[in-house]
Amino acid sequence: MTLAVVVTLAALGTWAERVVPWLWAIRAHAQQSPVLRSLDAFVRAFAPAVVMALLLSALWAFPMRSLMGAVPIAMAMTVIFAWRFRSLALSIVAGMGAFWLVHVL
Amino acid sequence: MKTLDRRQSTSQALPEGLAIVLGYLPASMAFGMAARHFGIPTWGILAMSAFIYAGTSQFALAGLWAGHAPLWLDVGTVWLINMRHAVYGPALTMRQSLARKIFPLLTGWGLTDEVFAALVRYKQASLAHYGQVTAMAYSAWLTGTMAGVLFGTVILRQVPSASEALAFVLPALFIAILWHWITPLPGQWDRMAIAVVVLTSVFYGGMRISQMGSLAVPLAAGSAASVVTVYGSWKSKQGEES
Repeated sequence: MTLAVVVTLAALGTWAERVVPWLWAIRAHAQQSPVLRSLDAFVRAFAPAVVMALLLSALWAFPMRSLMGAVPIAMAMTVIFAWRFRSLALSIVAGMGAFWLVHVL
Repeated sequence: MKTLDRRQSTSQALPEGLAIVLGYLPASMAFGMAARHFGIPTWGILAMSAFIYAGTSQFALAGLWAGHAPLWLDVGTVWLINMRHAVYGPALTMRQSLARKIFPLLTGWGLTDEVFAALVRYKQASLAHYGQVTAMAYSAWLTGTMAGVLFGTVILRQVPSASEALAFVLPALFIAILWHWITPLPGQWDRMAIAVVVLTSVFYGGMRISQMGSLAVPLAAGSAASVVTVYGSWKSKQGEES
């Protein structure tokens, strides 16, 4: 019973955190609120910071041995493919393949 | 920043969705296995994945529940960890000039970190694109949780090298997104801001102080850098007016 209450409250809060500010922003956008220009400039740097944070957090799971060997090689391969082919799928597969090869070999 | 028509948008959603699926499967399986280990009933584990649908906070909740933490601490921790999601919707609105409330109402529940990272780089994305990426990610999370609960240990024992390759899917996705993002930088203030974020993150990441810090420090640097871009945008507006 208590677990059901915890999950329900946690889920409702998480839903509200995702949806309510989004609805608010759409409303502000529709009304051409003056705060939008500053918000846009704020978002321009904040969004890459989120991705950077996720990347660092994901790299945290790797042991130091991988961070000195397989991870930098796989990262380089991902960047090379992203730069050369501008394809998200291809660069991910290249990075994954490089990581697997270096890690296994 | 990319602008896609409806057809391109839908075909682009598939590789993005697949990358998230491959990244989510091992993580959600790990959650299923961990929650099972903590003694949480199967319906509770599946309900967490189905209704909360936010990885880090689910792991935290499972741990707190196992430690018999009070209700307010369980719920408060989940809310606090997921508070970062509050900026994702407004960021998408700013990027894509979204004026339709149907987007958050239909897809807002699925706005996770990875889905946000995949969608925010577009200047225009269709509801189908949003829906496709969200649905793929959500299905993977649920499937992985279920697999983790039912036969997690068996799967990991059968294909150990596959799980090693899958470990790099999400980092590769983030690197590719970052690369596409920062190559066509719009102005000198933006370039400065991104440089602050990257240098701080690399410096902090190199020191490897704590996992929570590896999320918090780039976000703090991003907020500081955002103030720089707001200042830059204000300066350029002043220049235009004079």
